[in-house]
Amino acid sequence: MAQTYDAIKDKAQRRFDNNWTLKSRIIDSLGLETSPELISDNQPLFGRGLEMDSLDTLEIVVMVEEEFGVAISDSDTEAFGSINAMMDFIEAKSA
Amino acid sequence: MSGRFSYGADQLLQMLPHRWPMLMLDKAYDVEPGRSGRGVKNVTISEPHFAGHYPTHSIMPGVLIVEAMAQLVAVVYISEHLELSAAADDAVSEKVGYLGAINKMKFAALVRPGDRLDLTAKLGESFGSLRPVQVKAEVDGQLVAAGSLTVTERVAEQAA
Repeated sequence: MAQTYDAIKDKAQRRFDNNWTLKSRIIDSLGLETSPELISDNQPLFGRGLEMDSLDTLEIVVMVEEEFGVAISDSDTEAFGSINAMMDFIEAKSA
Repeated sequence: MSGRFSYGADQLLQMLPHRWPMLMLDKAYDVEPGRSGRGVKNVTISEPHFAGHYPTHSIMPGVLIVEAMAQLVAVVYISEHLELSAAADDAVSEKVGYLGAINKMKFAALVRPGDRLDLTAKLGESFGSLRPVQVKAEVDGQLVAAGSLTVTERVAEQAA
């Protein structure tokens, strides 16, 4: 069944809202001096992206479990690629 | 496995590499290996930090309260090696790692000589070599400090 324009728009808006929440919570958890609008959905979280380190990773894991009820294990490396990658992971696990 | 374990000071000396004046735990009890535990730290005026913290106003430094919490955390994960592994080796204290982070620690009341610090630690799931932990300290049932820590456990090649 084809999705209507409105349904697709709603879905895109929900994803935007979820990504925004995730960015805000990452900023809060790590005490970053930036704001959600300055983090792009596909920006890398490590290295030259948000420059996260392994201690930050654990902070994010704890935050995602509290905020979204999804557990990330150390073998779930794909979840840390970007905001989009992490939200894909969260949505897949909570589906 | 639902057994709970208690350790007196002499046993703690086998489990922790710390010694005077940095051994900040007198007793551990209600220890569920690798998961949680409770501990006691009796605070006495004879401890060396009171000479300078402060000369006319003795209060236990907050960082040493955190150190006592971290030592209880080490006992909880070392007890897993001690109680649950078939071949308990005699160098378990070499597995004690380091403090990785102190997160959102709040100090609610002063701790003075004569107080008994009642410590509680609950370990979360490991992520690689890191582990999140919820900790708190109470005196006479009143909360004096609470927060979360990130601790590391040393792996074999580092301990060598």
